Amino acid sequence: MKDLVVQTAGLTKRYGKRNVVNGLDLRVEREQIYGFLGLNGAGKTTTIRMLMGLIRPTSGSARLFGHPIPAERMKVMRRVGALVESPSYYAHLSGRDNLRVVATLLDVSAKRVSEVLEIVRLTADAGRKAGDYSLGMKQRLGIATALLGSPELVVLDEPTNGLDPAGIHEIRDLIRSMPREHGISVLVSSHLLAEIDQMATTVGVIHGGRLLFQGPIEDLRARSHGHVRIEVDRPEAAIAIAEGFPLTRDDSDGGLLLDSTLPGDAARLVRTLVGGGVAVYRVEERQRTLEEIFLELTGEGAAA
Amino acid sequence: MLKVLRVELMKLQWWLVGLLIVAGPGVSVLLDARPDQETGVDAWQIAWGQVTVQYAWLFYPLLAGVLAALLCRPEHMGGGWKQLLALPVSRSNVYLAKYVVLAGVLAATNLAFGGIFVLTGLATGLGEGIPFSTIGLSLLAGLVAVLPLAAVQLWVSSRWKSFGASLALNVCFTLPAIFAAQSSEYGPWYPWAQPVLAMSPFAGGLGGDSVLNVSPMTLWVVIVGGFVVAMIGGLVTFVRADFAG
Repeated sequence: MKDLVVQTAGLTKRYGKRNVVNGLDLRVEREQIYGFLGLNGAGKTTTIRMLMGLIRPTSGSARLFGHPIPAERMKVMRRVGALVESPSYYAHLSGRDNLRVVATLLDVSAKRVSEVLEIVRLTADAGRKAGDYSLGMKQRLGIATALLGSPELVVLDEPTNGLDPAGIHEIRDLIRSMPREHGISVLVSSHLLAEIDQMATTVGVIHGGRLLFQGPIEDLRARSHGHVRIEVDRPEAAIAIAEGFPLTRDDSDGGLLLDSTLPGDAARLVRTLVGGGVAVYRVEERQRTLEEIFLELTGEGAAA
Repeated sequence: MLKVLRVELMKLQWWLVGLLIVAGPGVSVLLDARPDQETGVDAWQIAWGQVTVQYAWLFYPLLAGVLAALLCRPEHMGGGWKQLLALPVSRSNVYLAKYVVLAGVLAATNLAFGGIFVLTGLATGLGEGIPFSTIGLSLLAGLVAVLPLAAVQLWVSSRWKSFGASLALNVCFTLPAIFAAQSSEYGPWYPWAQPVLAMSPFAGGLGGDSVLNVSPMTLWVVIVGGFVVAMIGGLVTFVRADFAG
């Protein structure tokens, strides 16, 4: 029995007639980096808000460390650090005072405040008003706030929003180091597959409020069965000649796609085409990228 | 609860609150200051009656609304609710702490009002015989009378993101208070009329003889009842609310 930090069963949130989150069964294990992937509006933030007890599910349940949320929220929130959606801040207070407010509620020392400022590289700007911060600095402040209570679970909703490339790199390294160095479990959401790919060990793909895939990122990649791409002089004639082969036109560039990577299939197809008088210019294997798999899963990229 | 209260005090925009506490009562008093009055106890009583009408009818209820909105503004503006309420703090404590601070600042406002009145009275030559017990009782009654509408305003402000909207609502309810206060039939039932009824010796209540024939008993039952309803309503709404904004 694996140790589940986050577990939801049939978690659903309905607004009006629309299920924004629809029967979600999330499972985040201890010391995992769980990448919660979905396009904007897929239901990521609504799910995270339900996990934090900010909104109530219409049906289904959510548990953090085995405790039902929101019923036993008070028992577990000390062990959770969260950055929900856009970073929260008190504009009229300095960055340091913003952290002091949360530190007071968490019984955290001033030393820890300085530590987290250092971790997100805000020490130099700690005395400035948070309202004057750039979006990237606000984001760092939000991450610092999430880390303040030395939590066992960190929930970060789109943590790299508004950061410059160097900042994204830094935050990514920070997140990756959390399970290793501090035994922290991480639930990180993003609409960018590449980002999840570089951080997460496990992925949950959400679309239209439904979980389309959940498992190790390798399993998602394994779905990427490849094609053989063939370029010929007369594609129409080629398809007619190669009757019986799983051969289709690639609408994007006029090439042909063989839906198989078995060496024998490619060889027989080429023989058939050449025998039928079609000139074969190029034969190449093509792996689908994770991006294409994601688009296929979410049904947003039929052409891919 | 104490931690939540401390945090509320940390977040308060003190310079703005300080300005409101001093400037509001100051203006209320100075508008009615007349240097050519008689002196003595009666003159003090009359002057007190005059300044309290304007203050308790208009300024004090308005301030309750402004302060309630000001207390919720940091959370509305920077997405603070979702951060604050995802921490291990109970929602009811957050709400109660805001109310305690609101009531505390309203009490401080009344003290400032009393202080400024006495100083102005001395400066304009009302002389000896400051009626401290009348003033003290009146200030206390005013504070108690403002608590239900402070609870209503906190209810509204905690739910409405717009500072302007909750302020507009407040003005809409406050202005009719002067008419309601003159009616012995409706006055006691109108929350925004309670401060002036309770504070002004001209209007009745605890502060002096009742000229509107409003039974102090009714007044307090309405005030206490109104407070309980507004407080429970606001609290339950807040505890059950979805913070999705």
